[in-house]
Amino acid sequence: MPLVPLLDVDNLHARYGQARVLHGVSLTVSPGEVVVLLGANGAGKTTLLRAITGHVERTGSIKFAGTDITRASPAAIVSLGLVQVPEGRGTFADLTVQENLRLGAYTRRVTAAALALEISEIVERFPILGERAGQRAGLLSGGEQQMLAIGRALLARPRLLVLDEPSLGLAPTVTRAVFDTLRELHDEQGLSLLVVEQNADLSLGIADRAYVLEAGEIQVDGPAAAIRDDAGLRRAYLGY
Amino acid sequence: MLALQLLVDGVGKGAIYAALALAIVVAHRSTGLINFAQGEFATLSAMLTVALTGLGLGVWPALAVAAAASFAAGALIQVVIVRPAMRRDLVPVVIMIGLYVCANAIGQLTFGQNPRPLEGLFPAGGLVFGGIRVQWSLIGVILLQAVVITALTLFFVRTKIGLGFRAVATAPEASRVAGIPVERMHMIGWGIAAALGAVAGVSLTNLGVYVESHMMTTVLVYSLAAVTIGGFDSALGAIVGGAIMGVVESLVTGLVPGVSGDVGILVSLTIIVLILLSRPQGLFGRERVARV
Amino acid sequence: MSESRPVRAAANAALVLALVLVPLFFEPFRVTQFTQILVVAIAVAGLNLLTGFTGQVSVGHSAFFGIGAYVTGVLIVHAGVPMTAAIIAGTLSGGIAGALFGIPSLRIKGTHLAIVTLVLAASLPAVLSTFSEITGGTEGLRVPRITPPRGSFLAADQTRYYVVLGALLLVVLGVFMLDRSRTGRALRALGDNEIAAVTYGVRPMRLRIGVFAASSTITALAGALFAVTSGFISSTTSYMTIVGSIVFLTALVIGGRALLAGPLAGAAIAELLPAQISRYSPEWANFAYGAILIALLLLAPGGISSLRFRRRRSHPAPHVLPAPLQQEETPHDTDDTRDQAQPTTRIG
Repeated sequence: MPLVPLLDVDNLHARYGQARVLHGVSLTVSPGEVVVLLGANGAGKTTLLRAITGHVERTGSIKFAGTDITRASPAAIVSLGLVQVPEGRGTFADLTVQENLRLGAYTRRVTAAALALEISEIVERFPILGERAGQRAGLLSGGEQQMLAIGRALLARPRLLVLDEPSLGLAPTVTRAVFDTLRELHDEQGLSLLVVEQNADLSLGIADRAYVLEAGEIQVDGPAAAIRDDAGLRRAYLGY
Repeated sequence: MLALQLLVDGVGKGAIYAALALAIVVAHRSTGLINFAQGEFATLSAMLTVALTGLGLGVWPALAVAAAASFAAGALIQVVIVRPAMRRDLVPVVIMIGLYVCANAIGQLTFGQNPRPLEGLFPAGGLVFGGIRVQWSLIGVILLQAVVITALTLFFVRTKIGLGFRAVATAPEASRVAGIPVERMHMIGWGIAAALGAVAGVSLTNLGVYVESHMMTTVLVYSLAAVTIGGFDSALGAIVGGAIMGVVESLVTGLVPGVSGDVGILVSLTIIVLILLSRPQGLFGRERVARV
Repeated sequence: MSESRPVRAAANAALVLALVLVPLFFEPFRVTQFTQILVVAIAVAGLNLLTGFTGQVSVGHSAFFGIGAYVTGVLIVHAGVPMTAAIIAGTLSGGIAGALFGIPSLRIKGTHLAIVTLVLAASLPAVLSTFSEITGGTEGLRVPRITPPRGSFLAADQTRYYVVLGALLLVVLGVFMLDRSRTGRALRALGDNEIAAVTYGVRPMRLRIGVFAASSTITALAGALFAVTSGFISSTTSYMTIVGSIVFLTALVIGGRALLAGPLAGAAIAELLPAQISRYSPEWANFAYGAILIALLLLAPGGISSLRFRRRRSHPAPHVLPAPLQQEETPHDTDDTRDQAQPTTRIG
């Protein structure tokens, strides 16, 4: 890689209390790159994302845009532009769609007028959010909530968007729409993406590179296309 | 006619129960704990107000300073005592009781045993229409709570911090992911609750109660009943519940022969038990998985 | 349970012997103080029964203590009931009140139960001062004290001490036997996991009400004995107010789970320490109770859950689910960690 990586994870260990989950994971995402992280249930994928975004006990080194964020707080990490869309979408069910979007910009200093403008841009991309602006987020469908979660994350002005299982619980057509949106965001704004997915086929389709995590260690690392075309690898790690 | 007079008086008391109930709800929404010491905090705030007026400050500025100091103290207690306790099994409940006793003792130690009056916030005198007496102070107390509640509502709905607070109350984990400083919101919640308590405590003195270390004991009980009626997470419920309890207390102790002020507490106890048995989420609360 | 059974039995026997000998070597003032410690220890043993078996916390036990004390005192003073009968009546009244509160405690748990018991504790002094013609209100009620039987070589203070000690030992023996019984096992299973316990045939309703009633009966007995050993009760006596509940809780947390030594040590420390502090003013004692309780809970690693009676190895309760207290934040992705050093496959 000629470029300095945007995200540079080196020898990362993480644990929940006594349970060690990650054993020295190294991973990079370059500016403008789409990277997918694959692996079976229980491989440590969510933990890896949560460790990167500052939500689990961790040791090792995590650098984002040249800044060491290994010990940074979640809020500080978000304000640097490393923004996560958590598994299960993590919208605020009791708040309105509009309020959910406003919360996206929580870590930034923006005037009310500027924020309103930015929200209208998001609504242009996801028109359904405009129609539902005054409704409680808990009343949205799964796909709409995923759109809301992505929209909210975009309002934090991410340089790297980290998504945990964006297809979880969604119908296939909705999943496809979510991935189309991600592709667009990457193509139009050069947004870097790190995506954890069970749906290997679809995610490898939009990714530049892929990692396969198993039992807390990176087992495979390479261009997405190569992994997709390697029948042996697919059978061994991806189960199809 | 007596009933109507009692009703009016009850609404005045109810406004104070509502204010303290609201404080309990705000603290509960931020940290999921019922602060049993909320009433005692309010007592300390009222004592501080008395002390400040003793230094020559007007009663309104004294209330403002006491409310600000209460905010700081509430926030500090959240950080130092509540936060370390929050992730444990029933420990917080017992700690809240410990806080209650400590705060009460501090009041007795610093203020002494002798009740002292506080200068009124509102002019003396009042209105009489149709045989019913309404003191200016009663109207003032109700208006003051209305202003405070409106300001608080605007804060929670309109401001960024207020929005962040509600987000944390709804989903702490998702809030953390969105970069909202969850711990700071907990702290602010306890601060606001304590400041609300200051208003409740000083308002109580305007209904003729002297400042002393037990002034809020029964108020706390009625406010807990109000919170139970309204639902532990519902601000609207706290206000309505407070009004209901004020009126119920006034009518029961005024109309039922042989029931004096203190036994009204048993009415609260009965209401609390009945509501928790039949509708634990309260009349306004949404059903949710119990968090213990 | 680190020591072996014989060692524990020997330690308990030594403790009982010491307790029996103590009043022979101290002046009456001290013996009276020790008697009060034993009274509190009985109340704590009652609370221990509830918390130990169910993990529930009551902040209303001062009310049961007060009911026991006042029913006993009022019956003796105003109705001329013989002392023994009055003590029994006082104790049972507390038990009945406890059973009444045991019924809501079936459905009301955690913080909500704490609210109910707190309000209960706050109600008692108010009720007492309302019926001040009988109870004496804040002025208090003078109750005749236990006197030595005719021809006894014991002094009055020693007699009172031994009566209370006897009651304490009976209570502890009762709790010990309950703990070892089938019922005890059912209770522990219920505390661990109600749904699982029900599938094993445990009947939660009866057990819960029963435990609550037994716990409040014991604490009411402490109250009754307090009335006839101290000779004076009033609505401001600290054991009758919320402070009483705090004293019992503090003692419980200090003493821990041991059946006899726990309540004793807890009661001794909770009684003596604030007494030292409160020489200047009694409010300091209240402050000390609150502060000690908070400090202990923040510093003790296990918190209240460490007070739960443990399952005995020899009688494993049905091998049910993990303790509900440990389900804090289950990670989504945890896996067992096999340290297989496989090299990363690099492609391209």
